Amino acid sequence: MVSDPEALLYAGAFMVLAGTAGAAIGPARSDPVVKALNLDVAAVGICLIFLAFNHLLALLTYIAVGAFATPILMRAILRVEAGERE
Amino acid sequence: MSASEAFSRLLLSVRKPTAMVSAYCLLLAGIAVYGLTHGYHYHRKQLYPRPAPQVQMKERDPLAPYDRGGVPLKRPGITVSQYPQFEPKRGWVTSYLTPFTRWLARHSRHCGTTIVSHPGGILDEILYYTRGLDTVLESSIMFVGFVIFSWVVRMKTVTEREMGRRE
Amino acid sequence: MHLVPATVPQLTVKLYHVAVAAGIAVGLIAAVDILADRNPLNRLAMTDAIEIGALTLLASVGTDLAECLILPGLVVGLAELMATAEVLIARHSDWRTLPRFDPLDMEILRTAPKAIMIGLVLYGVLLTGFTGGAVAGTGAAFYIFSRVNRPRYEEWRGMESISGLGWALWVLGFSLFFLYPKEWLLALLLAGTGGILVKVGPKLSLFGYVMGYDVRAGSGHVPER
Repeated sequence: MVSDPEALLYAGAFMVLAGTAGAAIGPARSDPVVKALNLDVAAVGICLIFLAFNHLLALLTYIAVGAFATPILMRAILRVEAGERE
Repeated sequence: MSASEAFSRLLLSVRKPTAMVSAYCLLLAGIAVYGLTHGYHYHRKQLYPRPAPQVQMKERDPLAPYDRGGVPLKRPGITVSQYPQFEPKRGWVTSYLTPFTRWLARHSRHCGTTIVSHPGGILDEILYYTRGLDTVLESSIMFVGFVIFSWVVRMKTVTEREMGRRE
Repeated sequence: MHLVPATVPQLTVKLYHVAVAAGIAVGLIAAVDILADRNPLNRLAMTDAIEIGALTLLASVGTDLAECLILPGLVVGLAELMATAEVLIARHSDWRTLPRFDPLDMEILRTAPKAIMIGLVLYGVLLTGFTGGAVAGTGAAFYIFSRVNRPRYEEWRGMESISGLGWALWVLGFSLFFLYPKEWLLALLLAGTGGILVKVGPKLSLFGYVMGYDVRAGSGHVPER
């Protein structure tokens, strides 16, 4: 069981950086769906950072709000790309 | 070219929403580079300090990690706020637990977050009492910033496009 | 018992240095990417990344105040993302280009969402505050997402007035805290329970309702069982 705050924080910081860098310069970066999926890695990373600092209510709220952020992003991507194809 | 003319030309060059976003991000990137290259220190005397992570969990505290002392309706909890002289009832909200959560705290050691966020808890005290109007102000600033943004995006682009059509 | 230390503990200071560096680096990467790519969808996604960097910076302080600033910021940030996406959609697409899907008719979509909705709403009511509103709203919206036939607008018309009532209760609780500090218990119950829970929850579930009208119905109507 991992309860060492430092280990959690290093894992979270790595995931945040890797997710954002992947969205910025990773493969298929011009595809918005791939970009949104890369940003989900960063979202898990910030959950670990919240956990490392014991910000538990912030973590709960972030998970609940994050469940909405992804569909909103996907919906915008779908609609805008469908509009561009016409 | 006078200084004010140069300034208005500068403003004119960032009038489009896309250019405005770029200018803002340039500013942000500059600040970030400055922040990464220069050192930063942590001033250890902060308001509302909390114990080190995982300490209260290891002590098997049922209210971990939000235990700030006090007995519900009998003794106030500990709140290190900025203006204690203006807050006669400081700490009472922190220590309050509803009867149901009191029962939960007695019978379970794993629902700390649930217990303290059911009315009471340090976060409610900070948000509603000791920093009350800050909460309103923060949300309002974000809302106003957003309203300005969406007004600029919709109005500016629509009118420019229609003006182009008319010419 | 460790309740409240006099100064911020050494461990938190150690974590702070790592988290601040990570937050600033994320902000730098995202800002440079927005500068380099002018595609509006890219900018929408990378604004999310900047928000993650800002949240990391805020969390790194590691006091109770930092957490309090995160909570309302998250909810308002979601509202901003929603509205920005709406502006993009209004500019770059029209109603003729709606994507077309056939509704999924699966056993699990008829049974599981009800149980999940009840669990999340109960837990949200127990949590109260911003957190509880977000959790309960997620439950309600998830239920509406996974329904085969969307509810009609007439069935949901009361939601806006409930949200307005919640706002009024919240403001009342707030002013009670300042005008009559002796009534702190009543003010707490009004602001914490009545206000935020009722204010945040209906907004999120309304969003779940709105999503349904984005997709043109496919081959046909699936009967509710």
